[in-house]
Amino acid sequence: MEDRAAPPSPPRDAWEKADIILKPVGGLLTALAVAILGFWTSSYLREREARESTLRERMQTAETNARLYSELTSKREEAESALRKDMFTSIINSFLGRGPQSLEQKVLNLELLVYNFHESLNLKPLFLHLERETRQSPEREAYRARLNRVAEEVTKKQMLVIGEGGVTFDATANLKSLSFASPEGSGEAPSLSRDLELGGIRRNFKVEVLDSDPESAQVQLRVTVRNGAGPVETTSAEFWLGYFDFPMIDNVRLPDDQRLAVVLNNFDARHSSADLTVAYFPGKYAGLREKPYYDEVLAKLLAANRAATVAEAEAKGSAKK
Amino acid sequence: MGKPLLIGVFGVCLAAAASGAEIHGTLSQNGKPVSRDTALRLECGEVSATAQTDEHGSYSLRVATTGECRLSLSYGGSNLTLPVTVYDKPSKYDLVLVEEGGKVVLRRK
Repeated sequence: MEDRAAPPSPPRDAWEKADIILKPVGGLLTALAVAILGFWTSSYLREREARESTLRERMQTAETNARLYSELTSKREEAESALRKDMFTSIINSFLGRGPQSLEQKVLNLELLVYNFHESLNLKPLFLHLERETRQSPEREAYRARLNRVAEEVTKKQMLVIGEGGVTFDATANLKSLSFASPEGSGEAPSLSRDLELGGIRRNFKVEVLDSDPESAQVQLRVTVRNGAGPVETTSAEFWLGYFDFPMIDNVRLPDDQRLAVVLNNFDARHSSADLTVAYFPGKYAGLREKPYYDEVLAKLLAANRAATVAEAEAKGSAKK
Repeated sequence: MGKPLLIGVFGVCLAAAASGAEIHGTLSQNGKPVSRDTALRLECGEVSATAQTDEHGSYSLRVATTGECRLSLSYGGSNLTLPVTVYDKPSKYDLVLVEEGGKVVLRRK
């Protein structure tokens, strides 16, 4: 019987060997890939959750801080308002009450009122009243100097703020000839006319001196405002101007929430001369006494919204490009 | 003889120092302050004062009198002048150098 041996299996080539080795390795690699992917996904989700929770915490903290800040501010405002109200009532009662008061006390009370409420009240009548009262006093000059000094200080403080946000020009008036020295000093003109631009609005301001009162150191002025753009609009105002007219409170209201004020810097009766500053400024720098017109506030809000919409559309357009 | 003279001189100096007769402001050209140390002169009759601008173009001139005065400065070889009024209290004169008709003119801002 012939013994038939199984034919020898053909030798395996490199691919087959590799297949044998790589099959379990492939499984291992797949398991490893799944494990890595799982680990990566879970760590990503964990990180995201941590990020979101940190953000939420931060927002909550910011919100709490904002609420706390607004509560504190509002409480402080309330306390301040109450204090100011009490202070105002007690000072104003000292003028209106019947109890005897020395001139010194009255001047002191006026100083307190001016330093604390110069942005809220027009105190010119009180200044003039006290000035009249001091005329009988032997210390008239000292009191008058005190009143002028406090008025000058407040006017300067207010002009510092107004000058930052507005435009101004100075002029010297001749009270004898009721004219103005020309800016280049080559002569005198019966009126002074200047073009000023603020917030994209150009206006012409004409100032005339109508009269002067050396006794009370006041000048009577006429200010004509002409709007250059489109149909010419003219506004004219006549008023007496003295040291006690504060620009934030005593000003001419113009359209588009703008103001015009004239300040008396110097009055020299001996040389018949007065130095003035004309200020053209936005309404937000005016005193707290005046509220803005609602239609102007609405127009401003609408304009701001329109500008924001246009900016957004432009940003989207450039992002697409 | 010497003592009354000294007292007189001291009195005049004290009056000049105590007087608030001052003009102050800035000197600029094309919206920029002029160079530092530009000399200005204020003449009020026989009384005069000189000052120089600082790096911001600011100046201050004090005199012991009030009334009509003349402010002058030398610029580009020419002497520029401007009539000013000096008061008891300080007054602000912001000045600008403007080119008009080919020559520079000194004006109040």
